[in-house]
Amino acid sequence: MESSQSASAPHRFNLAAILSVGLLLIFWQIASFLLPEFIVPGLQLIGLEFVKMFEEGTLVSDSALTLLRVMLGLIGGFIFGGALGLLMGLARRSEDYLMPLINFVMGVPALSWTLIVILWFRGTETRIFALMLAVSFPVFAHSILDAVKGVSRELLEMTLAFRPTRAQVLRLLILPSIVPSILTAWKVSIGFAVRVVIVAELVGASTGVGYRMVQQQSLLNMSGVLAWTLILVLLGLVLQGLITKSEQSLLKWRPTTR
Amino acid sequence: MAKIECRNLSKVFNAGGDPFEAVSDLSFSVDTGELVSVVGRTGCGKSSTLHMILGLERPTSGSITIDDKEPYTDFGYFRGRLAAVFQTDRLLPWRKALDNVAYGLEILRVPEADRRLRAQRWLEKVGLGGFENAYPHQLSGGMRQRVGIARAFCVDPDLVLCDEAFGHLDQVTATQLRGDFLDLVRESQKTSVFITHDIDEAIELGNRVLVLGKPACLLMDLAISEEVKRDPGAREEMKTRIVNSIEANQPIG
Repeated sequence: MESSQSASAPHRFNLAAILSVGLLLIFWQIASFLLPEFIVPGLQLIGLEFVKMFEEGTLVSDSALTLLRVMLGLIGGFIFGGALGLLMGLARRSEDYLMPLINFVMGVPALSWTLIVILWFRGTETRIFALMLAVSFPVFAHSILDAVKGVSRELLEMTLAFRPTRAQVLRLLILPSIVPSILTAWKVSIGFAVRVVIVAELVGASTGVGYRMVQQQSLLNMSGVLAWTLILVLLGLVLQGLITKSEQSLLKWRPTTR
Repeated sequence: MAKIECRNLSKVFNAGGDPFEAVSDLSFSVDTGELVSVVGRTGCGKSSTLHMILGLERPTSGSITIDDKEPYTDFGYFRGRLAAVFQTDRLLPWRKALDNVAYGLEILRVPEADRRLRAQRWLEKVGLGGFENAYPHQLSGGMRQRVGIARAFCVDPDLVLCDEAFGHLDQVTATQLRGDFLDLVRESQKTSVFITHDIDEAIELGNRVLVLGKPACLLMDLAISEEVKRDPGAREEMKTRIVNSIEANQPIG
């Protein structure tokens, strides 16, 4: 009974998703007959755009570049923010000093950071990396700090009875405890990072999905803008899917709640 | 070897500026190889006492020593010499049963092959052969507590401390586990301190019962002979004496 239910739930979800997306596409296609092409281009035009992008080679190269920028920035933010979160969680006094700074950085809008890194750094990649780092590390720092604080006191006492070293407490108890929070932080950050990287490419790059979008917009080519937008959405979804997959294998010790 | 000496032990908590005395001038000793029950009301400072024996809290005054070393100040000395079974199983949810049992050995840096072998043996001893690869959430409460017991014995400690170890289980499972636990302690000749609020359990398990008042101080130190354990009348008499003593918060002759 249980297994048939968990098997049918994603199936039902897929059917509903296909239906709702299908309806949207039908309405879009009808609208394309009634409205000018630069406002609502037909699906066939958007499809052709993909073919053109693929033939030019930009589809693969610019998507890959944007993906790389997102991942590098997030990895940087994860390492820096994660280290800060661990430090604050393990040496409580340091939280009093670091947290105000982190909150201050977090309060700076992504658009301000975009302008600031353009003035501070030279070279597109350095600028984008700095931007991604600045916007992503506070999120990681916060969630990892909370996770370390949330490590079960009971499990800590149990562990201390065996007299572990500090490194053992970290490796055997704290790190495994915070894995679920780390994955959640990645999920949240990916959606956010994709949006930010586009703004950066839009303002200060000559490659990447964001740049291609601006280019298409200046040509008043709506189907081009939409095609690149779809690429972005797909990129975000694929990354989220990867996290969910690794969640399933890393957290298989969890009781299934569905 | 594990001889506990507890002298004029006190613990005062300063929560919110209002001092609260949990343990008050508690003195007792436990000899190597003894199985001593400690009984008292819920919230009488039993757990604080256990925390101090484990070295997780520093006594406010007085002293506690195990083999002439202080568990709090000589923290590292007790590496591998202490083990505890708690009220809840306290298993690591991401570790399979076998790896939970081997946890203490891993901390003691026992090589992997060796620790798997030892953990396997203890898992079988507590009746869980075949459940090596089960995660804690796949086991029943009684089985999880068995894993916890195996984890404690697996490091071959000098002293086993239990804090209401069977308090969360149904009566049938608890009775079963108490019997198994007694067998393990007798077989391994370990010094054990068993903290509980259940007077029947205290009499059944201990060779001695320490009766604590509130805040924790020693009201009575009763030897429990095998005759008393076997004779229902004598048991009942002993129980009444303990109940009255706890109620009056003073020794009853």
